[in-house]
Amino acid sequence: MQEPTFLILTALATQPLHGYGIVQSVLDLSSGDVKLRPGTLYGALDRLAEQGLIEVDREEAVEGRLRRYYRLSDSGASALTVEVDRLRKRAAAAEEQLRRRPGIIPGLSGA
Amino acid sequence: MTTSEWPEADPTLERAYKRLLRVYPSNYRDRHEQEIVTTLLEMAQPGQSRPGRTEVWHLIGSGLRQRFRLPAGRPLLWVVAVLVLLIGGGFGAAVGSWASERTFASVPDDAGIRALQTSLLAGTKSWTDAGTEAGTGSGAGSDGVATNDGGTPWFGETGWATSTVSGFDGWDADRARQELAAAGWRVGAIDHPSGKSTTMAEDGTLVDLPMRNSRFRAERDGVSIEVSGWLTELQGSVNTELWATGNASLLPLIVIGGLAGMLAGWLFVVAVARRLQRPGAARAAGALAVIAVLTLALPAVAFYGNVIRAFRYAGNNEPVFTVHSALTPGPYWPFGPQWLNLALLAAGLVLGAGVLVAARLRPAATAGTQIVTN
Repeated sequence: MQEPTFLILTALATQPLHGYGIVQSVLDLSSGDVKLRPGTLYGALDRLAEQGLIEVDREEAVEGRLRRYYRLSDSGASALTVEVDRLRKRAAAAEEQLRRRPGIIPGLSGA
Repeated sequence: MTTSEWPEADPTLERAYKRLLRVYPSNYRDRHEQEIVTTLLEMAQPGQSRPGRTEVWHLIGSGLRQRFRLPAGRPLLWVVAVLVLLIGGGFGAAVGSWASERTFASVPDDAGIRALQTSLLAGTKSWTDAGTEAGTGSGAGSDGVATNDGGTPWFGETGWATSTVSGFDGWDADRARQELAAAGWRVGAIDHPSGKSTTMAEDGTLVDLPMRNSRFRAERDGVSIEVSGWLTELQGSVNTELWATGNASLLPLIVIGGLAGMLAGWLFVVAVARRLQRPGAARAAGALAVIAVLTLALPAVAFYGNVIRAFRYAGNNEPVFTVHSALTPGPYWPFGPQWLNLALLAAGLVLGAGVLVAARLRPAATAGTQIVTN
């Protein structure tokens, strides 16, 4: 799973969000590192909807403006859980490798 | 965010965004244009009146990517898409080949070939006239054949003529060559290919007959000919073969046509797949598409076979191999009727049109479950 996909699913984990809400949430979740652009965002949303990982929750329309809210589906929640578990194991493995490294690693607390 | 925080619309900026979104496929715009524009306006800087350069290229790139993207999670669709891409490539190469052949010179019709053969046999004693003191041949007359064969499944139109002449003194290749040169043909040198002819002796044994064979080529106005005489002391024949020389446009147009066909094939599958939203409709159209692909497979293979021949034999001073000639009725395959490729192509295109019609009959899926207005 690519990072933007992971972050979009993560953003939708707590509540349904519309496009701009997802952009802001992803920006917060990534500490400002990932700013989704609209083309990327809607390409990903379309793909995730086709895969059944997200669903349209509701729409709000005002004077030609449209906000479509997306929510994480059960299938999406499962996929996100699997990905979180995978990343956690990867991170744990990396941490363990760093602990075994001779010398002091700045920022890594001891076991 | 509440509905009171809807973005202010700058008409100029909004129009610019909508223009840019035309790069996206229409059914995608139907589903997403409003929400994308809303998001774009929300992300715009205060006072911004036109999209930034990076933003423009990003939207163009995203729109083009969307046009080529197959729906996710349907691996079989990828198989179909690749097959249709290949079929489209073969068909496009055939169209390119056909377009190139429109620029070739025309091979003379039967009357033109007959006239040419007559000039090549000027002053020649024909078989029927042999032995008569003042007789001169009538060229490809009642004792000869001249025809434009309309082409084969491998190369374009060719013409040929053959005439029977008397023995060693029946035909003079050098004189025929001079006749052509005088008529403006660019003539090549005469060579003397080997050959063997036998006759049966009175005691029943086969006896080899000495032969005097001559052959030369000539070219004029985009038409090439090869003239050959095969003579024994008893009789002989003069054969002429004609074909369009061809030109340098053939191979580039085959390549361009092939690439365009691949592109069209891929986009066709993407367009159809995006319109097939309901599983039932997808199954029906998918089955039709599979039949179309199977129907088109054989002519596509024939096209690719001819593409290979067109490249392999390019510039060899023989009849020009073309791709679309696979549709010319003939024994391309060792089975089936001679018009098999043409019939399969026609049937496949009808089936493909059926898939397209079925896809267009399906309304584009509408997302969303609830509309809230204020």
